Amino acid sequence: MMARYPFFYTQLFCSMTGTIIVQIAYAHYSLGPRYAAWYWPFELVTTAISSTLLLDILRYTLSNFTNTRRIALALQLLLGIAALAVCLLTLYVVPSSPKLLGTLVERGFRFLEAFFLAATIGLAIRNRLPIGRNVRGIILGYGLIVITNLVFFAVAFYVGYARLRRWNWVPGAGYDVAFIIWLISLWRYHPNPVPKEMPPQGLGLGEMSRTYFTREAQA
Amino acid sequence: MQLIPFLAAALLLFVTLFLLLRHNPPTSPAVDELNEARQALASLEKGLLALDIVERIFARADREYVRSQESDAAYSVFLEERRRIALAWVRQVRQRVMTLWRFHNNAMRHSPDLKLGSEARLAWNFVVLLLACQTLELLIYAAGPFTAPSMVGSASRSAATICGALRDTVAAFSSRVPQF
Repeated sequence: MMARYPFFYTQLFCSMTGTIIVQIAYAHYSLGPRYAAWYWPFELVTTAISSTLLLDILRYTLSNFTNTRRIALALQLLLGIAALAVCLLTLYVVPSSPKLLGTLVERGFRFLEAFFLAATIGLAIRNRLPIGRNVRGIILGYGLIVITNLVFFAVAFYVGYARLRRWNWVPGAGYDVAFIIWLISLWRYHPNPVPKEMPPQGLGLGEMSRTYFTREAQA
Repeated sequence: MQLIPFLAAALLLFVTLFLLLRHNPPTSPAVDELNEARQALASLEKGLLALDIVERIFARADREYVRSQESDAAYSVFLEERRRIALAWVRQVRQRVMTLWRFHNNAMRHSPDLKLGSEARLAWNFVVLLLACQTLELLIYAAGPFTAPSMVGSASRSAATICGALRDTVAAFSSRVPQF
């Protein structure tokens, strides 16, 4: 399974290991006021690593089919450029605190991810591409994480963290639910359905005009 | 205003995730779809777009003949009947071409030799045909079945071109599916 979904398991490993390290550091070494300085770099690094999971999603959806492969490449390129633009724009604005910087970058990343996922799913549905149980679970779980984080950070930036103190559990809960979805959908390997490729077409559009039918219509 | 685009993106993703839950396409076009496409193709080629039938429905000579009989009642009945037949022809052509188009889209997504140029030309013909059918329907409603013979010809030619191209898709799939 790890060989089949390498980016998914890498982000899962990094997120869990990072969370454990930060929690141990917080509990045993009394980080106190320095917690934000630890938390935000960790949060941004794990967000960037978890974004690579989108490559696994692409690999088993759009890249898996002949006529959407180019669209998948274009989407990857666009996502990369947009992510770079978000980082540069945030650095240009130069936020006053690590918390603000973290919020801006995370909100921007989640915004891009939301569009990227929506475009990928939309194209898969439009082209009626079959999606297997494992990949469907990965998309659903990650989509849930993106939605909860995007809404939380957008609202936090708008109203301030102080007024959201009671809702701090939302991003964590989103991750917990996603983890349950992943646990169920990836419990065992389900191969992604691969339809048979069509045989090459004998006639092209050029020959088409030679058919009796076209001749008749043109007569 | 700062909040709206982000909430809209979250809502968009939520909706697509919901659609994903309901998304369960067949791995290849179903036999039913293939049979439906075959029937649509045969009905277009052998019936609806056959030159003598198209000429008969839109023949001005018929109108001149009925008009020459000097019976207003017969003429209005004839016009009404011919209008109904012409409208039915336009609708059936459009409906069958749509059936073929849906089948083609479903089938071609797995084609290893998909050519962008051919697909673009086909899509263009399809758009022209749909526009021609809409305009023709409006004209038949408004001014009767004998007003736009050139548009009838253009719709027939577009439909014929589409049929010619889509026959390849139907034939390619027929070779993979057992005959009934």
